[in-house]
Amino acid sequence: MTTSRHGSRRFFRGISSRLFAAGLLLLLAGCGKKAEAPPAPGLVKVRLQTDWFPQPEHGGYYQAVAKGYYAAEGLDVEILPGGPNVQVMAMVAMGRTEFGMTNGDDAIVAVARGVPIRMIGAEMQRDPQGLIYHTAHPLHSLRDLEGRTLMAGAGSTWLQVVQKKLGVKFHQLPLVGDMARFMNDQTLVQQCFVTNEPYFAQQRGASVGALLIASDSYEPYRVMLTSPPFLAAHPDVVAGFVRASIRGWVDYLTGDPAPANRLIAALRPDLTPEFMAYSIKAMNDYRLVSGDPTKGEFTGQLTAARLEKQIKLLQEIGVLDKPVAVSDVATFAFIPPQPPSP
Amino acid sequence: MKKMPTVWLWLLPVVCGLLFVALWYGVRRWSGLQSWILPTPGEIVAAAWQERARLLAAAGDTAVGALGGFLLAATLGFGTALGLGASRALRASLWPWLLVLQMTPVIVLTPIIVLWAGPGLPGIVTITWLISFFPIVANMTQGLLSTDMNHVALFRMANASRLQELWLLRVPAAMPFYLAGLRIAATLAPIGAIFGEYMVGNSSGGTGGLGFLVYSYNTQIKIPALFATALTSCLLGFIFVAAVAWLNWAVLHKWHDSFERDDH
Repeated sequence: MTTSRHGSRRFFRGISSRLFAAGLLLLLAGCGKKAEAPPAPGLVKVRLQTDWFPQPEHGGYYQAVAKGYYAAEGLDVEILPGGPNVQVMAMVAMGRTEFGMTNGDDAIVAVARGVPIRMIGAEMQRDPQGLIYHTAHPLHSLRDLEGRTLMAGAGSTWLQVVQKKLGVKFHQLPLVGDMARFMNDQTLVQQCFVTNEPYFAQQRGASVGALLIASDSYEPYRVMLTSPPFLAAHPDVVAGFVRASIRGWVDYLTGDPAPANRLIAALRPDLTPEFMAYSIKAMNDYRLVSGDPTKGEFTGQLTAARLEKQIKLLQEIGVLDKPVAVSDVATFAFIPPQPPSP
Repeated sequence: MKKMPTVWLWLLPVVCGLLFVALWYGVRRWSGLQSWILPTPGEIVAAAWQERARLLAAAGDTAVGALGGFLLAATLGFGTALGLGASRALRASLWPWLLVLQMTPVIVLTPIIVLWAGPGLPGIVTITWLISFFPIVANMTQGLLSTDMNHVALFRMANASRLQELWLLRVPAAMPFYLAGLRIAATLAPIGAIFGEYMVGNSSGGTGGLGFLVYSYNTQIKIPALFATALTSCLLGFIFVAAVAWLNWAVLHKWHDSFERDDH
């Protein structure tokens, strides 16, 4: 076969530009948004973007949906499932979702980077991040990490706290998402959710324990977020959302979790009832949501003092691009004054 | 060359597969690894059977993402190649950037894909498209440029219009190249979709596809089931490749030399 550069070059001129325009249109059409479900009559339609695949750690929101707590506040809340790489804070800031939830530290770091978001309430008083270990080589505090080998998320804030504030030295391996190495090495420590991995390791016959990373020197919240413009335009919607979410969380952890679990199981057929029960028990055992009542903590509470301490810590270890004030990251107008009665 | 008896064409891959399976069992036996590190083929098949409902549903989800990305790549690749084949200037301006697009690790683009296309299916289709687009463009462009000059001269002598030359000569002549591109893309599309589910999935639709199951089985330490997702993904890949092979036959068997024909 002979090649025909001259022929082809002369040939398509004029056609090519039109084809390109058509191709571009097709590309844009492919990126179109899917149709939104119509809101229930009389209710304000809002969305909540979660940070991961549906799981019991989102149970309070699903409970509020299932038991009509949001509807009682005049809201039709659609929970958008998250997953790896879901950009909760960017989506809140861009108005793709009215509400989001994520780790409190990440929210502070994002605000310092200029992402316009605002905390409106706590989902959990303490983040469920923990360290899973074999009971043959236990961890009693973060200081016990000295000299150990640890699989952890690169760049995790808590790692820098342990290294810079506590001066603890350890060997770090990247966290790749499987537990095979941990299962095969009695001395290895792996970052986990205390509500999650320990269950599966025990199920496979390993004798393990889990240490909550949150401690007196480092205690990140998990928070509910919205954007400042939405907050300014619809304070009543935000108030209703926070109220109903807290009601959902209290009911999910102290009442019958079945309504939320049914919704979650429909989205996650791989989660067994036993696992969900374990997760709920861990949230209660570690008081992740309710907090420590002896310290005056309660479900939904955010305090300026603790956020202040958190910001100072993040500043000390150098992860904040610019100094931020508590009023830049959170509003306390929607926090209930007293412990909500279950 | 003397033709190999057909029975051998069926036997050889089977023998090869059996040898591989035997080697696998051997490695497992001599290494002393547990089933949650290196499951045996038997354990994987058993897990696949046990999880068949979930795997099938997930494979269906993955197939949707893979097909969406594949079709997008097939149409856009066709259109882009027409443009590139037509204009040398366009080729010079765009070719390096098409290479850049292909060489950019998709993980770098995942945040922007999630924001623009959205998590779940739109993001998964976008990633699949990104991964399978380039081989189609590269092959189709080469095909358009490789049209036999004698045929071109014949068309010009007969005063054929440009459009006639395009649709009646150049595009048909480029078909074997285009189909070769589709064949490569067909092997990439299911992998692209699974990668997409792993990177930007949100378990929408209740199963979240095979990429989501990779997460799920990994955290739950169900390693034989994890390997079963690979088995399922291979089966899905074979379906894609078979579909393109059929298309290849349908388009080419009447005239192209790669098929045995009666008129030889």
